[in-house]
Amino acid sequence: MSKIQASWVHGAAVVPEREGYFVTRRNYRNGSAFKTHGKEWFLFAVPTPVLVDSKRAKLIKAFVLFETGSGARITDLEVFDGGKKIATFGGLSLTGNHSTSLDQSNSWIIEPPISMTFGLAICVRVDFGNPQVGSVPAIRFASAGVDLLTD
Amino acid sequence: MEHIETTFEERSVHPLDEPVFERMEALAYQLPPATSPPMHRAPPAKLDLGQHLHFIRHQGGAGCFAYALLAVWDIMNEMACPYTPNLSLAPYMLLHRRRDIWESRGGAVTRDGRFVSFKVGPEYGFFQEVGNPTLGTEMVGYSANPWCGLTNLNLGPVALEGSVPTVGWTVEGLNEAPMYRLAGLPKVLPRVTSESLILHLAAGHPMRVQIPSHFLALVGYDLAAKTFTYVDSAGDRKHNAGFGTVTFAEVDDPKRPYFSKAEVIDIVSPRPVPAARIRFSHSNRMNVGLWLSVEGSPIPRRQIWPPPQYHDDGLESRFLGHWMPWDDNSRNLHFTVRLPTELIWPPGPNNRLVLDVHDSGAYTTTGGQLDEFTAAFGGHVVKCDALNEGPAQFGSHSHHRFFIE
Repeated sequence: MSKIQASWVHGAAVVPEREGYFVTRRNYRNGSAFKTHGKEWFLFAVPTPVLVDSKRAKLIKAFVLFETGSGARITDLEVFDGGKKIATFGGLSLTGNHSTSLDQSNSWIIEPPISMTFGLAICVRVDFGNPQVGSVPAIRFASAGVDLLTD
Repeated sequence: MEHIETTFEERSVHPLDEPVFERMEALAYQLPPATSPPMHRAPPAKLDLGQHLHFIRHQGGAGCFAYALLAVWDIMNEMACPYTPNLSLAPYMLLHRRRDIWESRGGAVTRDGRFVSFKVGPEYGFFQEVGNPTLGTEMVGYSANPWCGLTNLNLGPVALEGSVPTVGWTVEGLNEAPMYRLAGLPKVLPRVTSESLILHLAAGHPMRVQIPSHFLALVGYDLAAKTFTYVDSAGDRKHNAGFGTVTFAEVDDPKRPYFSKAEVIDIVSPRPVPAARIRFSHSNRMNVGLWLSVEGSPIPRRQIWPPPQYHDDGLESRFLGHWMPWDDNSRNLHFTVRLPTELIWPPGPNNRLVLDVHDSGAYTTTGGQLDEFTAAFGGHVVKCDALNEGPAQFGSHSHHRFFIE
């Protein structure tokens, strides 16, 4: 009988791919918020039980709970198993507050399921857009996680 | 009208600059020619790209070639991305002054192990691959000011090579230089005529122009008055607050054209960074020290003016073996500097950005006034409330503190 396991990390665990003066980060108790312009990747390293009861865990869903502001939007999501890219979701344009519950904008189904080997990272690309008067585009990551299936 | 002739004609090339001038003369033939920009409409009757230049530099003894290029670069940065911090001269001057650390091997090894080739001039290769840091927040000490202290201190080749990469690094441990890079080699105008200069200016390209013994930044023109506007690097007491003019006729003089060379540069558009713009009026800006900090931060406040590199590379310091105050007698200051990284944008009541202003009265005792203190990140601009009713006066031998929240 199949078993489902879930593994999640709080948004405070997210790291930007590039660090520099052009990105400001503020950590809140409900997640980490970033403000900048242009496009940036953000990475979640999700603790991954690759073997469960001596059986290979398979990735079936990925989740990123977030809230955007001032024009920022998620455009791409990639999932890595160690150094290998195993799933890609492009052409996205996700905005709004999706930080408190699961919905179609923060959940991705991995079809077919993919056996995990070396540990999982969820990578989110955010297009913050161009400078605009009065505010700086922002995103807050509340949480990220995956559902894993074992036979 | 003020003529360049009366201002610069008798001037000779500074001894420190002589090898640079010779080198740049030779390099001119290796640089690609600038093609005339396509014009879809007639050039405007009057153009002033100098409005985008806030910081009027004072070169002191030498280095006009670098100051002129950075004026052009500052303007292009400001046009592409308002509130971009003003650029630092430290790498440029290091590479030119300490030719011994790169000339024999045709390049330099940076701290992260890259060999940066200087086949076509040190500044061009370096500024394309490594980039250029900004003014006022670089590391303090020899590592960030090698062109000052190291010009006469023999620390050996290892120390000198190690100083090359550190010019891009700041005290916070991040390298900001890659943010500010040239997109390619400078392009040289095949013929320097008033017509070609107007076309390039109208296309949004200020230019570095050379008269035989000096470099300037050409920033505008007036078709009715038949004049070009340039910005010099002699502070704001020279010319009209730093800006001078030259006539079309002088530029097109077939026997003695004023400009022997004009260069166009292309930049990699910088990204917005949190920055502060500060403007004060004074009788001598070197009286005034400025510090930026974040209230409550355990990190010491950082002096942003005079910046660390503003210590003389003039002959006196080279002979004496220690730094001297920069010979900058400009009156006013208007410049943009990156915010301390410990400030998490935006500033607020519990996250106040602090500007300390101290007038030492060392050169004049007139005091001055703070006209602007603004923080910006992209299009988000926050002003200092204390200046809402107008400039804030400060006397000599006084200390004042201003907040943005």
